[in-house]
Amino acid sequence: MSSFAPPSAPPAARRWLSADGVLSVYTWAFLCFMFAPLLLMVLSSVNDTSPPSVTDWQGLTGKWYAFFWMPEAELRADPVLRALDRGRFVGCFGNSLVIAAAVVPLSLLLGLAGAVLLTRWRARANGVLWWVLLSPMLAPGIVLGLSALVFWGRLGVNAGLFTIIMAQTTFVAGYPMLILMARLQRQPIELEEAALDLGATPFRVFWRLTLPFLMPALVSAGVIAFMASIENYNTTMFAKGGACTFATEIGAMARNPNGHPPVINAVGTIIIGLTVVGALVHTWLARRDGARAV
Amino acid sequence: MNGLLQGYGRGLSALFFACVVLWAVMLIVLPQLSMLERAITAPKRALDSSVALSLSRDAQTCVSVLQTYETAPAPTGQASGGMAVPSASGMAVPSASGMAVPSASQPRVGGARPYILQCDRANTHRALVRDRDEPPAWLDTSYGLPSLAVDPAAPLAQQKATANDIAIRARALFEDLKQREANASPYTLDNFAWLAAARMIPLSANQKQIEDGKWTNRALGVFGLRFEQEGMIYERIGLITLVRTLSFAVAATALALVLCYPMAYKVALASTPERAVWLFLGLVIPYAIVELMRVYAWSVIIDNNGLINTLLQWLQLIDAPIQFKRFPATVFVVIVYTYVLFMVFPMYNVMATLDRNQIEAAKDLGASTWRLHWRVIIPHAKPGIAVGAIATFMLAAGAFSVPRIISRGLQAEWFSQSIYNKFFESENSNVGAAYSLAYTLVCFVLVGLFMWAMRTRLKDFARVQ
Repeated sequence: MSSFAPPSAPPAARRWLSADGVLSVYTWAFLCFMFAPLLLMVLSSVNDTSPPSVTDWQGLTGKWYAFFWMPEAELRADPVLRALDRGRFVGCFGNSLVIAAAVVPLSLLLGLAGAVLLTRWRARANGVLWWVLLSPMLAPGIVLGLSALVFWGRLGVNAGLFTIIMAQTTFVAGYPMLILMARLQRQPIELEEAALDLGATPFRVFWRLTLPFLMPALVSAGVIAFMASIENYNTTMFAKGGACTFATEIGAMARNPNGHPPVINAVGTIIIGLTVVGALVHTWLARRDGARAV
Repeated sequence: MNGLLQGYGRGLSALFFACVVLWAVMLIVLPQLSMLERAITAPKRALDSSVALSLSRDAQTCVSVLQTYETAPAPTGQASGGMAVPSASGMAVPSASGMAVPSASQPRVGGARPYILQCDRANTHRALVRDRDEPPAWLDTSYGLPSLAVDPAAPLAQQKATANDIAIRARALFEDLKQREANASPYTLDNFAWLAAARMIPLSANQKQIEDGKWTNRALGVFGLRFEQEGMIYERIGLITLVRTLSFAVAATALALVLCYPMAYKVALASTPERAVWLFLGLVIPYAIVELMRVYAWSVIIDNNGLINTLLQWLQLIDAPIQFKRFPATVFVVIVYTYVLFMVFPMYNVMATLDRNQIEAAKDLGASTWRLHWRVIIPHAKPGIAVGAIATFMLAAGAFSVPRIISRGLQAEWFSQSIYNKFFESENSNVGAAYSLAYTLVCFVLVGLFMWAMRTRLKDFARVQ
C-alpha cells in the first residue's frame, strides 16, 4: 500500500505550495485594496478638520456624528456645520424610507410573479418574457430613470417621489425575481401535487406550501431590494425632479467648493458599522443553520 | 399554460399575469417607447402655418381699424389731442401678436392714416422661423404669395382693399399649410444627428501644435472624429465622449475580470470551508456598503492634500500636489474599485459548484497549474464570467456618481453626464432623449455580441446570481 504513494508528489506539492503562496499574498493584497479606503473613511470621520483628511490630524472629535443631535445654538457656532441644512438632510432620508417602503413590496410582488411565470409558464412567448424582464438589469441605470421621467411626464405626472418609485421598481424587481426563481426551481413538486390530489385548492397550496417554502428567499430578496433602493443614485438622479433622497443629498454635498463636509464620512462610518454587523449576524445564522442541518 | 393553471389556480395565475404585464408594459416597454417618441420629435418652434395665421390676423385687424377711420375720418394734418379710439362697433379684433394700438403721435406727413402697427405688419414678406444653421426664408417667396404691403400713403379705401386681400390670401395659405403639416410626419432624426455634430475647438497656434501631437487626438483623426477645416480644428464631441466612455468601461471590465478571477478561485476552490467563510465575509462587506460611500472613501486618498500627495511630498518626490481629480485615470480606478465586486460573486457562485475531485483528478494526471485553469476551471466558470462581465460593464458604462463626485467637472465628461446635461440643461431636451436612446441601443448591441461570442444564454443570469 505504501509503495502506491506517487514518488512525484513532493515536487508537485512544493510547486502548488508556491502557487498557493502567491495566491494567498494576492488575496491579502486584494482585501487591503478593498478595505483601505473604508478604514481611511472611518479614521477621517473622527478627525477635527474639514474637508476630511487623514494626513492633517487636528485631534479627535465626535462632532461630525453629533451633527445629527446637537442643539441648534451649537450648530450655528460651528463654522463648517452651520452651512449644512440638517432638516433637509433628515427629510431626504425620510423620503428614501418612503420610497423603499413602496419599492420593496412592489418589487417582491412583481419579482414573485415574474419568477413564477418564467419557471412554470411553458409557452413560446416565454423567451420574449425573459428578454423583457431581464432587460432593465442589462440597461444603464440612468436610462431607466430618464425614461420613467419622460413616460410619466407624458401621462401628466410630475417628477417626484412617484417617478423615483417607478424607476427604481423597474430594475429592483429583477433581483427578487432571480432569487425566487432559484428557489422555485428547487421546490419539491411532489408535495404540491399530493396536496392538490387530496383536494386542497390551488390558493391554499400556494398559501400553505409554496409561500412558506419561499419565505427565506423572500426575506433575503427584501433585504437586497431595500438596500438597492436606498443606495441607488444613478437612476434616482434622473427621475427625481425637485425631490431628494438620501443618496442624492449625499451626492449633492460633493459639489461644495471647499470639499465635502466630514459629516458624510460619519454617515459612511455608521453604514460600514451596520454592514459589518449585518454580515456577521448573517454568517453566524447561516453557520448555525448549517450545523443544525448536519 | 396548463401547468401554471393546475399549480396555482385561476385567480393566482391571473394575478401573476397581471403583475408581469404591468411590469413589462408600464415600467419597461412604454417608457422606452415614449423615450423613442421624444427622441424623434423635432423641438418646438413656430410652424410656417402659424406665421401665415398671424399675418392674416394682422391684416384683418388692419382692415377693421381702417374701417373706423372711414366711418369717422380723422382729420389729417391736425394735432390730435387724444387717442384715436376706435368706436365700439368697429372694435379692433385683438390679434395674436398684440392689441391694435392706434398711435397718439403725430400723423405721418402726407399719409392717409395714422400709425397702425397691424397695418405695418400686414406684409406678405414676413420671415419664417428657421434654425440658426438654415438659410432664412420668407412667407411670400417660400409659398408663392405676391409681395403685398399696405402702403400708408395710399388712399384709405385702397389700403383697406390691400389689407383685405392680404388677409384672405394668408388665411387660405394657413388652411392649406395646416392641412399639409397635419399630414406631414412630425418626426425627424435630427436629434440623433446632434450626436455626430462637429464643434469647432478654438485653439491658439501653440496649443494646436501640442494637441495635434497627442496620439489620442491622432487616433480620433483616423476615425474622422477630429478633423481640420480651413485651419480650424473640429471635433465630434458627442461621439468622442461615447467612444471614450465605452472604451473606459470595457477596460474597467477587463481589469475587474483579471483582479477577480484569482479571488473567486481562492474563495471557492482553494481554501478550507472554515477559511472560506471569513474570506467570503471580507468580500461581502465592501460589496454591501452604499455605493456613494465607496466613492467618497477615495476623496481622502486623492485630494490635493490627500494621502498620496502628502506621502509624495513627504518623500520629497514632488513640490506641488498632483491634481488627481483632473486625471481620467482616477475616475477609472475608482470605477474599478466601486464595481469590481459585481464580478466576483457570479464567478464565485459558479466555481463553487465545481466538484473538487475534478481538480484533484487533473492534478493527479499531471496537469500544470495553467492547464488546470484553462481546461477545467475556466470552462466550468464561463457562465459566471460572462454574467459578471456584463454586470460590471453595464455599471461602469452607466456610472454617473463616480465621474460626478470624483472629477467634479475638472475633466472631460462621461457619457452619462452628457445625457444629463443635454436633457436637463440644454435648450432642446429631445436631444438628451436621443442620446439616451442611442446609448441604450449601443450598450444592448455590445452586450448581445458579447453574449453571442461567449455562448451565454439569458437563463445563465438566473443560474449564477
